[in-house]
Amino acid sequence: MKGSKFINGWKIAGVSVKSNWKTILLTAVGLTIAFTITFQMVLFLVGSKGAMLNTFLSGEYEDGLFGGVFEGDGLNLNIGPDIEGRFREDQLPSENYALQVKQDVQSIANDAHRGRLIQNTRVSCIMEGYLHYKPMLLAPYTTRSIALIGLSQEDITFLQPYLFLAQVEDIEGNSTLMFYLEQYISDSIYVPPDLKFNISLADTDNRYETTLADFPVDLSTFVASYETIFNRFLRRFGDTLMRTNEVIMITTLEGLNDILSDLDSPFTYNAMSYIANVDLDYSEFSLFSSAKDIRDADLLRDEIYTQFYFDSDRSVSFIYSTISDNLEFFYEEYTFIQITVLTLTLPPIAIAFFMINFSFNLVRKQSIHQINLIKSRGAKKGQVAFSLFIEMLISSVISIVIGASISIPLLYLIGKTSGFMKFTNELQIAEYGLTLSGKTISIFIIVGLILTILINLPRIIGLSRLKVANVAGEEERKKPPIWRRWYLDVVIAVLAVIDFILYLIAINTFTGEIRSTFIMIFGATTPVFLVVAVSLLISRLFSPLVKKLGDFLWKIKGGTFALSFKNLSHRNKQTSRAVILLVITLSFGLLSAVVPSTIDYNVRQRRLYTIGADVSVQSVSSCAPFIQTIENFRYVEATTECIINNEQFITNIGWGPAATSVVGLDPETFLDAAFILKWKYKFSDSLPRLLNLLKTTGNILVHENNLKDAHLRIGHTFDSYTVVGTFKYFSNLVEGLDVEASTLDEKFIVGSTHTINNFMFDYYYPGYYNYVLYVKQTKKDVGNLVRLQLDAFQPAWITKSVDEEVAGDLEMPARIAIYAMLNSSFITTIISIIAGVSIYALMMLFDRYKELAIIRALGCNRKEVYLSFFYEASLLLSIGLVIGLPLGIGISTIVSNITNMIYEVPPLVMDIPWLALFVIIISILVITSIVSLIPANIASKKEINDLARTT
Amino acid sequence: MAIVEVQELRKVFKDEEYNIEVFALRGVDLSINEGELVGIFGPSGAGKTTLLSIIGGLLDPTSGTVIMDDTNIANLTDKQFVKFRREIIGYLWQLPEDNLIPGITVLKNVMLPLQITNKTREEQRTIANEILERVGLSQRKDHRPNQISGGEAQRAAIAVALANKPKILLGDQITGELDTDTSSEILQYIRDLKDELGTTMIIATHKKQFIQSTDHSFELVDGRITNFITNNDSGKKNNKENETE
Repeated sequence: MKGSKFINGWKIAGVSVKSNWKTILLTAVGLTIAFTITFQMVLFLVGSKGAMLNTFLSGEYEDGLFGGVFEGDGLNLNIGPDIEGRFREDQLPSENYALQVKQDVQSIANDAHRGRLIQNTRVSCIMEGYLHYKPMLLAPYTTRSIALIGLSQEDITFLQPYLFLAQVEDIEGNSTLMFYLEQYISDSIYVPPDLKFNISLADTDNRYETTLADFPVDLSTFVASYETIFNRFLRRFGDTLMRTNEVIMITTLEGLNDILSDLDSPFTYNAMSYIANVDLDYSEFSLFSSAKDIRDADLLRDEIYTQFYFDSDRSVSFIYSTISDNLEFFYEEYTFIQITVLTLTLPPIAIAFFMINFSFNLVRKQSIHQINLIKSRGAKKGQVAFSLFIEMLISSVISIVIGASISIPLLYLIGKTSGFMKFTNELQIAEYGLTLSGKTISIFIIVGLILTILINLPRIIGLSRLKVANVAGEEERKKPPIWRRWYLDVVIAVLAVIDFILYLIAINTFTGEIRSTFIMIFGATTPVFLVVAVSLLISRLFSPLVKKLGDFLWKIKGGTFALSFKNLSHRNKQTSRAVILLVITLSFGLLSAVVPSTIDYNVRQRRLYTIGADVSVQSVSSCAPFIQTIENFRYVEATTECIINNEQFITNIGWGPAATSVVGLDPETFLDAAFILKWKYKFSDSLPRLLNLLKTTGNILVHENNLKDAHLRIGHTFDSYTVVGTFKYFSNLVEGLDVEASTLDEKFIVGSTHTINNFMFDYYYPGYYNYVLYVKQTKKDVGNLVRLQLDAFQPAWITKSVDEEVAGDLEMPARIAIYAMLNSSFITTIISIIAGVSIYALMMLFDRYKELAIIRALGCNRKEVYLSFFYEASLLLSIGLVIGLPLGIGISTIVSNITNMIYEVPPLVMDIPWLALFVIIISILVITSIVSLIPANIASKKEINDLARTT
Repeated sequence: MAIVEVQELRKVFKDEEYNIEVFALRGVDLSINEGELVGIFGPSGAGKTTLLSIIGGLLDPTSGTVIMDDTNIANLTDKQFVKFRREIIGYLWQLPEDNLIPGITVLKNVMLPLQITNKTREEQRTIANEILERVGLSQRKDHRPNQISGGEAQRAAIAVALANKPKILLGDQITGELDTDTSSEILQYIRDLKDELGTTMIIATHKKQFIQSTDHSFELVDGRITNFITNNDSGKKNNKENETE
């Protein structure tokens, strides 16, 4: 009688699981690492999308996710309501009309039957009135009063915290207009009649005049909150508020009626219109359907247009949408970030896969033996596959659960990233995805299952198809892999070297776009070739080299240390894989530490360089009162005055290109305040000596390329000017891109202020050039204080503070996203190293019970067994460190150069966080030593008899 | 009637990396009748394991044919091979860990091949208990392989190999790890089971004492059969004499 195939299948699987629990456990460790990394990546992408979308919606996106991307390109995005329609009523304003418009727009959106982005559209109406001040009071200004009609509770909640004050600057930038947003809008949108409107104006003397306001202006709060408030309002009310030369008042309908009914007061009535603001529901914005969302929004705009524009009763003046362009820009940037984040995640994922492969290979022998045993008893492929599938399921479930429970807290930590291994208290990425919701669990399960199948299926198929072999006999000797037979490792190593040489040539020889392209190509491929070549070479050379070393040590003095070398070479496959794992993880760990640290460092360098000092204050007009003002400032320790001229229309001075940029400085004080210091930043080999020479009127420095191009030498004199030295970089002079190319078209000259004044007089029509004051910052935030001080008196002066600019550069959402991912990668690589060594040590223990029994029987004491384990793990780590550290630093240098390649000034300075790395390496050593001692401890405590019998 | 017919069997192992060829079998011919206990003797490296592996279909020959139970095993499909292993052949290896799955009891080890062939639970239990009793392991059936002695483990292995009542049992160095007394005991069990079940048994060994226990023996040296010994009934007798010594 036949039994149930199903039940028997389960029983066979049960036997397999029971006898294979060590294998399952090891596989689970590898899988857990893979899951942890992948879960993090997926949740991070989902979470960062939320955070970036917030940036977009709050209006902080204006400068782009990377900051300053659109600067100077005229591509600043208009933010504001997604769709805006302007309606006019020929009579006096009535709330009913506005509400009707609102309802009609809403119903068009509801009928659209498109994505949920459209379905949950919100419409709000604003009634806008233009009021003219009576001429005697405030002559040139128009006041616009905006009544908010039919706002939902959500709108009110949104508005309330911001209805305080905001600022709009006019186009010319020489006077400031203020508008106040009434603080007391209640739920019923009712303003008590006895409450006065707060209106503040800036008169022509640039002094704040409070007309009807009853509270003082706190300047620091104002500056700090200005941008956020302004952007939030722009996002909500768009260009309704983007007017200049107007005082804008936000009030309620009742408030507006009060004003209108009192036209004898400072106001006169002009015109009224209604603006319907349509906001789409971004909470439903999908990462995967952005193209469709954008198309849907466009179609909605068209539909509103069609329905209203030809409706004669409505008097629609225009319908406008900002959404499509904005979203397209946003998505372009966001996609770029996605790709960057994915690219950064690939190496740790590759490491995780290698880990799994490593664990699989450690247990492969046992697996094959077991399968052979079952197959020799007549098991079918299906039965074997089913057993393997159950094993896979168990290890996967363990890994998914552990991986998920590690991922969320880790992601919380990573979400608080503020820099490389720096964390703040605030969550920088959205909490979405971090809490254990149904959605998160389903992400875990789906991602986990996909990964499980991807990882395990080839193995299951491969193993179940294995031809049953002699269980007891040796496996037939396999052909060595193709790369070994064809010496592909050597070929790749040679390619890596050639690639690296080409990369060096590209950096040092080419200029402009060719340089960037070549750096990109060679710089990106070299690290890949290097890692592959090193891995393969380790695979080929590790075993024979360690064996030779072991033999040598054994000859000198046998002992546990020499024995551990022999053990390493004896298990060449496992050990070389372990070393490769260590080398790759270390290299990548270093990469994820060094690259951000270098980028951070160079962001500051670049700002310091281009600004020229901690704080620079620039004026286009008169110089004396400006210097007085700043010198009185109590935080300023040292200041130096410069003249800067970047105009390009200087008469040809007889050599080189006609266009000339000059900097005049005070050689006596320059080094006190300016950023250029010879020992730290090598802008010139001997700046103090050169500055000393500049004290003589008529002496100048020129850019070294100018000198070379004109075939001149130091000492060359033209008219009354003598070239006394050269420079390669000089702040405020050669700060742009592509130094090499620009020097072909332009001359760069530095001299004392006196010399440069004369120079300008000789070669340039009289004087419109910038006076700059370099300020040394002795206390953090001096820049901000200087700015506030100056703004109060001379708002036209441009104050730049390095700290502020750097803080701005470093706070970009995209940068935070990338750093968060690098932190995640770094932490995971450290976990991988620890797990890798632990797996290796544990596996060695399982594999070596018998061998240990023999060693013990031969007279090894427990301490020596202990030591042999310890030595092996330490040797592996040391070899990994010796190869991985230089490889990692080399790769980091190459990659840092790629990230920095668009900036040629100043030259890239590598910043290797040695202290952090030292601490991390020591911690890894300590942790892995402890972990490796666990199996040693188990092994040394077992009785010889038990060891011999343990299988 | 011959149940195993081996003709002109050759096997060459090649090491691609070092370009070495090892001639394991250099033209082996042999014929084994149903129900016989046949020994293959020879020193280490003579090709015994290779010959058994090829007969058992675990290794492909370089040339030559193996006909088992009227079937040329070279022509078997994967499916037919599964059937072949379930019904025709039982394997018995030298080391207990090669025969038994660690971590489960002796009884469960014997039940495993019966589960593989989809016997009912009662059948699995009955057959396994029966055969364990037959090899004298009823008392130890709930122990795990690492809790029993080498001889017991090898008896358990015999039980596993014979659980599905194969026509042929292939044993490779089955007493290689055992002391003389235990080896004799195992050989006796083999002999008795052969008589009782009528199973054809082919046992490779380098222990000369085993020659007496077999019906026929082949001596294999350097991949060639150099000697053929027929014992008829003497094996049993000689073996008993050995025991009494």
